[in-house]
Amino acid sequence: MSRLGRVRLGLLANALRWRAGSSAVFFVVALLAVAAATAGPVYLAAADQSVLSHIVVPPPPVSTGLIVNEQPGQPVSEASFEHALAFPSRSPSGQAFFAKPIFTAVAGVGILSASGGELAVADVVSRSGDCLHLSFVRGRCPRGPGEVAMSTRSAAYLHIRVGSGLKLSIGASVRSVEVRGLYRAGPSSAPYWWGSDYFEFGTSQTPPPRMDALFADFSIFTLLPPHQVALGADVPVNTRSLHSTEVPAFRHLLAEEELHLGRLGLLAASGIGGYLDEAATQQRSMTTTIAVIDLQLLLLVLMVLFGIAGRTAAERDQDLALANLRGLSPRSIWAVALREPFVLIVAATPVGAALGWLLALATARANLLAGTPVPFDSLALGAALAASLAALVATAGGSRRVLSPATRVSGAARSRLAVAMELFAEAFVVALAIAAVVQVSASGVGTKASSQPLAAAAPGLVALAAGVIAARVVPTACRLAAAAWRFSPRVGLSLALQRVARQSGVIRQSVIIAIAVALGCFSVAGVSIDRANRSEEALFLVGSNRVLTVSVPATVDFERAVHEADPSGREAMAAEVTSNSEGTLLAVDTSSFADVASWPNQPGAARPGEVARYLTPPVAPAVTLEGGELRVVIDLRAAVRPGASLTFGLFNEQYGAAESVTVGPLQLGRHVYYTSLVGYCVSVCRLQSVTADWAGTGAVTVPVEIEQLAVDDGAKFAPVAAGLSAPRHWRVAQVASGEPSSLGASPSGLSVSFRYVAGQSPPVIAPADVPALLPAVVTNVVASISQSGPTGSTDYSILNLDGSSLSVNGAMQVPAIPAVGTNAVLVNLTDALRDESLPDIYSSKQVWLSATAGSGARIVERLRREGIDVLSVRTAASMEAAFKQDGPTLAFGLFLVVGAESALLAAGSLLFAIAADTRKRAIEAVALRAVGLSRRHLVQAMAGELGIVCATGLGAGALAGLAAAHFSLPSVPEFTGLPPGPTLAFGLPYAWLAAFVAGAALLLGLAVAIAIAVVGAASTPDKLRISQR
Amino acid sequence: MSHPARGPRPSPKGGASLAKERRRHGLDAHCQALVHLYASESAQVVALRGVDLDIAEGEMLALLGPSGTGKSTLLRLLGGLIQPTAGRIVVGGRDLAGLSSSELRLLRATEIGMVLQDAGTNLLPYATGEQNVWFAQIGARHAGHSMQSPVEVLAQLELGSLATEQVSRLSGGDQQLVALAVGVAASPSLLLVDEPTSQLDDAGRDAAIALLHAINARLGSTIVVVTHDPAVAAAMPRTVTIRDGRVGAEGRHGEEFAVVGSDGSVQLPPDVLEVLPPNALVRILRHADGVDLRLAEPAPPHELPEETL
Repeated sequence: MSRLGRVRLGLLANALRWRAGSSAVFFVVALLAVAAATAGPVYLAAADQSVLSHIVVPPPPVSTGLIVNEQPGQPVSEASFEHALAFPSRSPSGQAFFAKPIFTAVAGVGILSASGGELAVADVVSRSGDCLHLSFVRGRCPRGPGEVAMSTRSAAYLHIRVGSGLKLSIGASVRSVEVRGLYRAGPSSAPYWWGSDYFEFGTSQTPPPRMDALFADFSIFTLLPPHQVALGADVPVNTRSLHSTEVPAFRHLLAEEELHLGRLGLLAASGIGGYLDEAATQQRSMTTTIAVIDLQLLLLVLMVLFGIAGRTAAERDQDLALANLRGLSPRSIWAVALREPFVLIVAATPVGAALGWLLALATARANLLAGTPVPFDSLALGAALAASLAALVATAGGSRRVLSPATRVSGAARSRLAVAMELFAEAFVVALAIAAVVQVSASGVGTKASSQPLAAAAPGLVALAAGVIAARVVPTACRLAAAAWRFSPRVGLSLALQRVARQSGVIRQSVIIAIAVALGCFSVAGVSIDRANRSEEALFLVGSNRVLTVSVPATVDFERAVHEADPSGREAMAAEVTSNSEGTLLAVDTSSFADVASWPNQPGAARPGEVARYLTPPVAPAVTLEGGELRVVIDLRAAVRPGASLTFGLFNEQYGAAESVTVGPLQLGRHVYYTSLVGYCVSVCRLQSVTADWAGTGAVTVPVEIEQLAVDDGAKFAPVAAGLSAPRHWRVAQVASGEPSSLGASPSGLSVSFRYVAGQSPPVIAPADVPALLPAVVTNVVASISQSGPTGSTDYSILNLDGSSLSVNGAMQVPAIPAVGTNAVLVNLTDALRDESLPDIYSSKQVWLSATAGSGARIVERLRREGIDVLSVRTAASMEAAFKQDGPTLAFGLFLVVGAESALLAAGSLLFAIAADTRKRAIEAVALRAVGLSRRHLVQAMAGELGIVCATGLGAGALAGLAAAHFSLPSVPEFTGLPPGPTLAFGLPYAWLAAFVAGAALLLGLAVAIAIAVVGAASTPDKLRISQR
Repeated sequence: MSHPARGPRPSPKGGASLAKERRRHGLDAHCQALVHLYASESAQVVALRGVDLDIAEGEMLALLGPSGTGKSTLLRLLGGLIQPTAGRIVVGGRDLAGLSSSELRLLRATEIGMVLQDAGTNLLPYATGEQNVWFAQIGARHAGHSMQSPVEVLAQLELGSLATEQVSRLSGGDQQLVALAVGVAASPSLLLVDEPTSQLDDAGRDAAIALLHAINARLGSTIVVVTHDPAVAAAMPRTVTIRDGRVGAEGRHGEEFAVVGSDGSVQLPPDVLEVLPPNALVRILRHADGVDLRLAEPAPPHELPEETL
């Protein structure tokens, strides 16, 4: 480098050193500008990946992989099939996206006895790597074409051992194989099996029985007729290594391969497209939100930079005057004015980019999936460079006032132009903010359908408008107040008012404070509201704090067992769920519902206690029979020809089987009738109905008095509590058309007149232990599609837990039911069980635990003692954790970081603004002290002035933040993307907001205190003389 | 009274060619009926009220006079930093009123060096002597002029020891010397210096005076110095005293003369004003050696002689 070059660099270095304080502040703000701009894209890239992984990694391979099968009736040779499936290894991208295919060959066979009879049926299966996923108890995995492996239970059923021979019939041909190994069946839910159940032992409804699959080597299929063999392949997608930037390429490759396989006569399908679509939707929403959030921070930083540039440019006034004196050209004068800030910005760019990356990294570590890479990509680099450019422009703009006289621009003309421009810009900002708030509030409040990512821009925009208005209004107010306080003894306050009234630059600081506080308030409100709603939503989706899916032995009364496990009834609730194509039925123990289940506020939803009461109308106690013989005392009041009989409908609680026993024919007068219960009621039976049977023609009335029911308990007949003396405990369950049976009380028992009409359903009475029409809570979807009654009726017919038909009265409608969603019905479990007529084998038994139950270990232990095992657990906490990984939530998480950064920036900006004016203020202070003002008055004046500035900023910012939160939060995608469920609560968290504003006030107060101390220290004549050049 | 021979010369080349013109000798400067008003909020203040002054090429001249008489204003007008309210300034044959702002900047960058009052106002406080000199050369270098290196400039003026010192750490005297060096950094043909010795002790003052002479001798620059310092005035071959915004007197080699203005007015020295107080009537008596002024008793108007002023 030449000497002159060194001189030039030395001059720049000396200048930076000379103005070290302001240079450092400028550097830090420029660095923050670049960091703010960079952090967003870096975080976005990482969040994109996190969202993608969160959506595509957890599903089992069968949901995301490519499933390839032969088309029905179009068998493909094994070689062709294998060749077609070689695509993952054909290209590097294929190898990256897809794992090695898992080939499967299946052929249905019959297992023959030595005599040639078919003992059982089974599938012969070969699947790539199956030996690694089968648990062999004896023998080994088959290796040759004549070997198979059999499950232990199949082997036990067929009395097969390792080494035994098997005859398999395939179509018309028979093949002999040897059993070389015994494996333990299952579980079929393991990911390797891709949802195919090869362990179907005993599932056949009709003979011959079905055995678990016989696993064999692929070579066995060379012995079998090709048309009897179904070929398939499962191609796993490497979802863990799928990068968000590669998704378009992956989609393209997948579509190409599906097309290619289709041309070869194969069926290829993958469910990953739906997951990728969901990820893309979340990513789009996230991108807009993060961009809006980041842009607000960037604009705030640039505003601060603009202000600082103006103030630091004033420090270079001397340099510019000298440049003018020495006849430098305008371009050189610009260079003199801007070289230092430009150098600082250029130096800040890489450091800021690194800081932005670190900031994004820290935020990503806190919010995103563990292990999510946080790359610094080209977008981040572009953002950093764009921020540098923006910082350069802001600096040039901020320095214009200093440059203008030097470049001989007419000060007066510029001033008028500047004032006009400023007024126009301020009016534009205010109008824009009002328009935005109106638009956002009109589209978002009260709805979940309207998503407005731009709603996240509301705090910045509203705060800018509020700050601008405040910066106009407050000086005027101070001017009026100063006039009123002119002769007040409170000199400090009077001085403060005058200074704010006169110095427009001072009050402008409040705009920056307002924006920072608004961003902070909005983020605090948003995060708090988000957390509360997310928690509520998670509880709603799970059903309660913790839901255990359990297996219940047939001999156990599930509801009673749960009651015994939680005698208080406040921690555990029994529930059963069954789903079919028409919807889902949730039956709950209503005695615990209000305390255990999540029942948040929804449109049309009553309080949980009211719901429980609604679902549980008063009914008579169940009539249960436990014994070997039933004795019935009946008084037939009128002779009936031919003789009538009474059939007692029973429900075997243990086996879920409906049975019936008959007494009769009835004789005129009072008689005792006996019937055996052996073979019908193994343990306990519940009396479901009493039906009069008559074989005559025409119509007849059978008047009887049922005086007593008793069962033989082994020693004697014990009366059954059947409420025969209380007709309200009974009801007419089924009536002959137009001629109802009647019920009445008599001194000796239940008086019934069965009205029988030949050709119609026989008359039935039943214990009133179940409402005639079960009260139910139905969802709006069910109400709209399942209405079976006349228009306006709330009676619905649904499928009960046992699959039988159940009539309900859905007078209460809600958008969604906890745990089961929008197409569901909620009923009382006891009533649903009493209405069963088939074995209840399809419903899922659940135990819902409340938050007070904690982990539920105590309850689980008690259930286990009853033989109830826990199969799986769902918790609201894990659901809530999963919500945190949703794209909009991740985007919103960035807001809190922005809020904190903004508050720090505002305090720093205020401190710098005061520090930059230190000398001016010190001179004023010295002059005022010279005319007799005390130091206390001066401190009061400065504190008052800065207090007005901070209070204005805090007030405007807090109001703007609250207004923005109130109007625009309902439109933020975070809240609009949720499914129907709990009504979202947007109540502002005033305690948190107050804490934030107090924290911000404390921070600003600290800055003010430091500023007062700095100015105070400089406000002595000696110091001023020393600092005079 | 007119001085055609000393009047402004038309510019043969125009301002556009200034950049390429390189002078070895000093520039002449001419002020004609120069008036300058400063506008304040309440009233206008007259700084100069008709100054006529001719400065020859390579001349060294001191502008003297009490504070507030317009000396520094005259210096700024000569440097083209401000425009006169009325009158003409011709520097090196160019009427400054006819030059554009860029031509004026070029003139300051290449031909006119200025050293303002207080050394600090001429210097970048954070820079070294060498860097300050380089800074002052930027305009000339951009205009394509070849420059001596800053170190050479300082060395020529025997200020080489100050080249690497940050000027804010220098004494007032040294700062003044560096300020003078900065003033001549671009080898100007006209050097305008305002109070170069105001903050200096005797040794510093002598050094500054010596430096001015050295500059004049080596560069041939015309040098105009505003000063209150009698020693500086004594060291200058020509002095011009400004009183009440006009040229009040002129000294040549230690002898002081009254100057007859272009409107025929003569400012009397203060000691003469004691004899001839303002509004006094005097008789002007011509004789072979010159003109005498004599205090006259006022006479009735009709008896006043024709010569009475």
